[in-house]
Amino acid sequence: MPKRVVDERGRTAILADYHTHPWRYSPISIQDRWKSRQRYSFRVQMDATCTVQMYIPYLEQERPGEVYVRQGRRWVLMGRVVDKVSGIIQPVPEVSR
Amino acid sequence: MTRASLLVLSLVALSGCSLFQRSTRPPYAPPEEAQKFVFPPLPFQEGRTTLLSGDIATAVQLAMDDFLPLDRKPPKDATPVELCLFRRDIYQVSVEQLPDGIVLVGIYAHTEICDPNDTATDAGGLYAVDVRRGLIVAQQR
Repeated sequence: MPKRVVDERGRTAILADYHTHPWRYSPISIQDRWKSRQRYSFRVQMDATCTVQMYIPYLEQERPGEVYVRQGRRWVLMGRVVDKVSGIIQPVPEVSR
Repeated sequence: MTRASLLVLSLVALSGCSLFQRSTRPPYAPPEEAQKFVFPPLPFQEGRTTLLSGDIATAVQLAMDDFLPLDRKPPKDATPVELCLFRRDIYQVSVEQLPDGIVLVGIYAHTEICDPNDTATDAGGLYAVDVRRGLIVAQQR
């Protein structure tokens, strides 16, 4: 991943991270939920079972971070990260999803 | 070569293998430093004490010993950043006791300690540890 992009045609901004994990049942890691790791407005990750998750850290906002899973054509909220420094997650009850 | 001398030779060779056993004990400071250390009169005070159950401590030890073995050494031409990444203390450990008795241990590096510009490199591992059987069930690293 480049640390810097220089393009004279305009300003660049890092919008998102996308990466994959080579294992099955490998969700967005707690490391990827650390506040110190947040450089993007959202992250998308896919594992070897093609399960896709998305983390929205809500940088610069008090609002908790949110982890979503892709189901069909919908993003379903699975958990919230209230303690953004540690990245510890609070699952959203199944009935609420 | 006679059978007896073959036996002696193999015994010598096998005993020599014991000289190359991997040490699993941590290093100790020299005795003079140990003698100078003063244990506090009231150890484990409120506000600065962390308690770990035996399950947690065991799971962390098994995972750390696999991910960051004590005899792990950096390459001879390691850069300062690479040397830093070999330190155990840059890794944060997350532990979760799952309902089925398995303990989840996540060992992830705060790489920014070694390189302030690096907040992206994935350096870590996730372990599922069965403490009762004293073994690592599965890992992702």
